[in-house]
Amino acid sequence: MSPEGDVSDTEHLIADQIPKLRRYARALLGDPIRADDLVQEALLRGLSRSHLWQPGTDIRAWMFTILHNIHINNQRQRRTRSDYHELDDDQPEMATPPSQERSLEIRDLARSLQLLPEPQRQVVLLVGLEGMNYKSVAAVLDVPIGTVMSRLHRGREALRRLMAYGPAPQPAGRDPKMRTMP
Amino acid sequence: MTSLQTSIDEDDFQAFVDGQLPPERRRAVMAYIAGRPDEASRMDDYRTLSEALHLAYDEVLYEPLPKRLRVEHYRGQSSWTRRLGDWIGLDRLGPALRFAAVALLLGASGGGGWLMHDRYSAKEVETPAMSFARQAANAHLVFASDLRHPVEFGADQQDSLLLWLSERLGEALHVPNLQSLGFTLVGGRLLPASGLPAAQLMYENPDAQRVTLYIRARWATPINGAQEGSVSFAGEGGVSMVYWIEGKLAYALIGSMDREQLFSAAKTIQQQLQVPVVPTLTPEQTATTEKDAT
Repeated sequence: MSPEGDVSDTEHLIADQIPKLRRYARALLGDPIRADDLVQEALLRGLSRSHLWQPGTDIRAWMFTILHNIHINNQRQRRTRSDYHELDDDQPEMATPPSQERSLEIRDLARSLQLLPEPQRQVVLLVGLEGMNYKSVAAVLDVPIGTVMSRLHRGREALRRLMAYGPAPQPAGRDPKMRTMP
Repeated sequence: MTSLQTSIDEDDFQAFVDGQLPPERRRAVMAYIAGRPDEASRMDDYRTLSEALHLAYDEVLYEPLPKRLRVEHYRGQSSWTRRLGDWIGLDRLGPALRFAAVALLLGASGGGGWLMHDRYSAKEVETPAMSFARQAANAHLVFASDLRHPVEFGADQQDSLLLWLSERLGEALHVPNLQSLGFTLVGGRLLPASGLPAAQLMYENPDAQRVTLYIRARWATPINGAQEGSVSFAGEGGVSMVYWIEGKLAYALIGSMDREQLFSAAKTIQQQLQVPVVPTLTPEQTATTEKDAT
């Protein structure tokens, strides 16, 4: 963590971020190979621009931003293919009961994650898995903090239903405040 | 993040779950949900969700990095940008190159010379014992060098640590005392291992040398050279490891010490686990068995 912008220091700092970028990309994309492809692109771009990183600022947020920008570009190029299914707000509960076995639970989680609209998945992962503060998440995704908060809420709520957590299915007369975020 | 409204809104709930509320706001939320079990359980669910994400994905952190994701791989290139143009052609082959990363990890920490590393050509051929050894080694390399946050629970919270780790492992855990060897407990942490919890206890001597004891549920099939109670030596030079199975748990002791020291430390631990075990195989024999096991 030297304050000087020494190139190899920055390289080390970038290298330190790789496992986390990898974890995030894998959870985001669901596919380990595509995830590593994305991380590799981010690594190369980070290295080629390491002189642009401001020492003292959050290198993790910087690398995640790079990864995100690349991801957005890739998405644009692959527009023809639909990468995810939008989760309808009225989607019924999953038919299968929650499994007691952890590995099954994890498979459920991975599958459920992929059912989330990607913007929600991103926020749920950056906050819940990466432990980023909301401000950094807003910066990484380049959206207002209010958007981060509403995506976080909707994403978590959808996952909670998909994972069939909680004692009972959704009550019909749910507090409308919970549904409509500002 | 927090609104100026006096009432508690959804943003407060989320920030409450994420520990991102200022203390007074946090107290307000706690008071609010105290009388609302539905909301309290919703907060619990959100928290469980974050924990589940960690259990599902944290092991990616300890996977050996493929060559194409390592900074060293690109060092010495005259221009990063030229490389950027190249990668699409060459490194698409990347997934085929997922091997030998443990060697690098170990090399980076001053270790190296592992018997296992060049055998990781694919995850599928890994025996449970090897996968256990790899996870234990990776966990050691990641955290033993961490000066600021080596442990989640410090030794001063040993009781909570024990309770917490035992609960997660589903097995009563003893924290061995290595004082006789000059090592004091620094603390411990919980780690994911193939979706199951594993515990890592860290010890340090006055020279700031660290050893870690990695504990996980044992694997089902008895493996040659890693039978219950036997001690295997999985490394040479630099960082070394012994591992053994005791009851329902598998243990690995890892540190930068010579094999005699490590063996005597393992023996000390085994004695304290109240089932004294004499190594049944010599290190050389076990190392060979380990090789053959692949």
